[in-house]
Amino acid sequence: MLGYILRRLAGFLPVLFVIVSLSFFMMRLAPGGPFDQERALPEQVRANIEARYHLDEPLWRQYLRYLGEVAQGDLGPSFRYPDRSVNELLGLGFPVSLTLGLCALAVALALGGTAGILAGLRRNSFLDYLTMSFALGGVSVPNFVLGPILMLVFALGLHWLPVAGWGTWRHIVLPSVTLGTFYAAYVARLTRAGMLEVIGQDFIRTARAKGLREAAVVLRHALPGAILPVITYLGPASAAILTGSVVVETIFSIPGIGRYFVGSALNRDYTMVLGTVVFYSVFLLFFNLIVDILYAYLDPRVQVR
Amino acid sequence: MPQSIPVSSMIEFPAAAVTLRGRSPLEAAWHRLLANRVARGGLVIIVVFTLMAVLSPVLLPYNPKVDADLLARLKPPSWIHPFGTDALGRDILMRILHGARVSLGLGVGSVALAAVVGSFLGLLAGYAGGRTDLCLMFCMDILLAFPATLLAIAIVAMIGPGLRNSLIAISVVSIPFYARITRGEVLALKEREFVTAARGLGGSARRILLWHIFPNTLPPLTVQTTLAVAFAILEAAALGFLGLGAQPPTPEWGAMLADSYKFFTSGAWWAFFFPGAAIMLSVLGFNLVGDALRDALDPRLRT
Repeated sequence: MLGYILRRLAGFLPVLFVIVSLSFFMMRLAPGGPFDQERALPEQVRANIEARYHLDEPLWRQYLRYLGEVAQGDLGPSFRYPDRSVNELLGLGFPVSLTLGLCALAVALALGGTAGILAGLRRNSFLDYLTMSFALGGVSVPNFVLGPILMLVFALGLHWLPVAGWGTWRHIVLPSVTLGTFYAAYVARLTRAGMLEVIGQDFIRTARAKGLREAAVVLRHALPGAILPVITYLGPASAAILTGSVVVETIFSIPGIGRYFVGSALNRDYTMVLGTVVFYSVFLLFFNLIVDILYAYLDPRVQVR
Repeated sequence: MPQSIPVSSMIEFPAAAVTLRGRSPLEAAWHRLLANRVARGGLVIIVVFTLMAVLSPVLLPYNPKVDADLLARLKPPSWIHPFGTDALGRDILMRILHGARVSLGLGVGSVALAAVVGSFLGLLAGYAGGRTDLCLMFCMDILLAFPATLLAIAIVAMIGPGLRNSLIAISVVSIPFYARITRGEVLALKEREFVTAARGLGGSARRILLWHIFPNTLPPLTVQTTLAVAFAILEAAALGFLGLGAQPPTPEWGAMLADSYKFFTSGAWWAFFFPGAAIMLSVLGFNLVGDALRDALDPRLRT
């Protein structure tokens, strides 16, 4: 196992090198720069700014400089927020995005899991059709439509929750439901399918014949088998949720990485865009490694090599 | 579910096979698809939106640059403006009709691009093998490590916002899926007898790939494609919403939402509701057909 982990870690380096290089050149060869504004800057001011950020050097030298800095974990200064470094901004935003992502994941599993189990147990009942219609709606409603609707109903209409912002647990509810719904819908469909597969098998009949309560049959005997597809889906789903809060952060004015990312994309803030990409790449590489290790523990059929 | 098979059905089996003989597997799948009420609903939605996209530029010429009417800002739905007007006094129905071309165009166009490039890379990797295969799949694995939404935003962030760039970004996201599915199919197919036979008859590599292997990789790609269009429409709208996709005044549904969601919460629901409904319905249509298509093409997966 240790050998496997070390080999995977060593494999990160070429992957990161490719990502950093590709991103750097894609970013720099595209037209438009961080200091292009509607009104052109005076020549001298522009030259000074470019010298300050080494933008006047040849591209290959800037590339080598950037590689060197990234290798030391320094993602450079942000062009958009001149007194902040990219590292600082990511440090501020990541805990927020992570909290939001984890809450959304919890919503997805709780909501989707429950709906899927109920629908699977009462196949072709009204409840089944209802939850599956909701699930189909859930994968078709974009979160930028759902978010404002929830905001209108629960914040502006009923005054139960704050409209936007970040700070208390009450601020987290609407964004995490908005973010989690799509995945809840998917989890519901997977759980239902898994449930249908398992519930007709002989060991369930045996469990019932033993005289177990229905709750015990479902939760202890059927569920572990039924959620296997969900567990397989959980890896990519968590990765998507934890990094996918960009739109939701924009709607609810949440100070997470996503908002900085969009802001920097619109301003062509080279270092911030590259820094965020590098940060997410490292995060995802480690995340996927952990997921693979966990799979090996959860499912004895999976062997890590 | 294990069930005992009644004897009568076993006797009828050959008869059923005889009636089916006249149909190709594709026809059979098509009939199964049409027999599904949900799928018919989805097909109707897709046809309606496609007609909107194709016909509105012809029947209702529209110039988004001169449509603003500042005297009619944020007017609720009425006879003159059935869907109301937006913050610049533009007719929302008109913009939605013309937005169909932009949004569906982005969805279908990016998937088509991804399918062509992805299948090509998959064919190449699967047939060439060796170092080519290794290199290509290494790149595909890197792309696959990123969740789709993040990857699309990151690509647009790097190459710059805009309609064309968002199309590129969304299609890059789907390329690895096509490449991997096609490669897998090619690896299985190239060991089959009919490929060996074609090679034995002196067929060139290109001919074998295009005429013998490629057609057989299509069925598994069909389902993928329908669902991918639904996803691409969503992604395109998300990019538009963030201001990274289509730029104003292009009538793109996501960008329309971004313009109007501030007013949505202050009472002007129509400017937000109708573009939102257009996105939802079109995505729903492709999702319904995609799901039904999966059931029709592969009845084993039926749930």
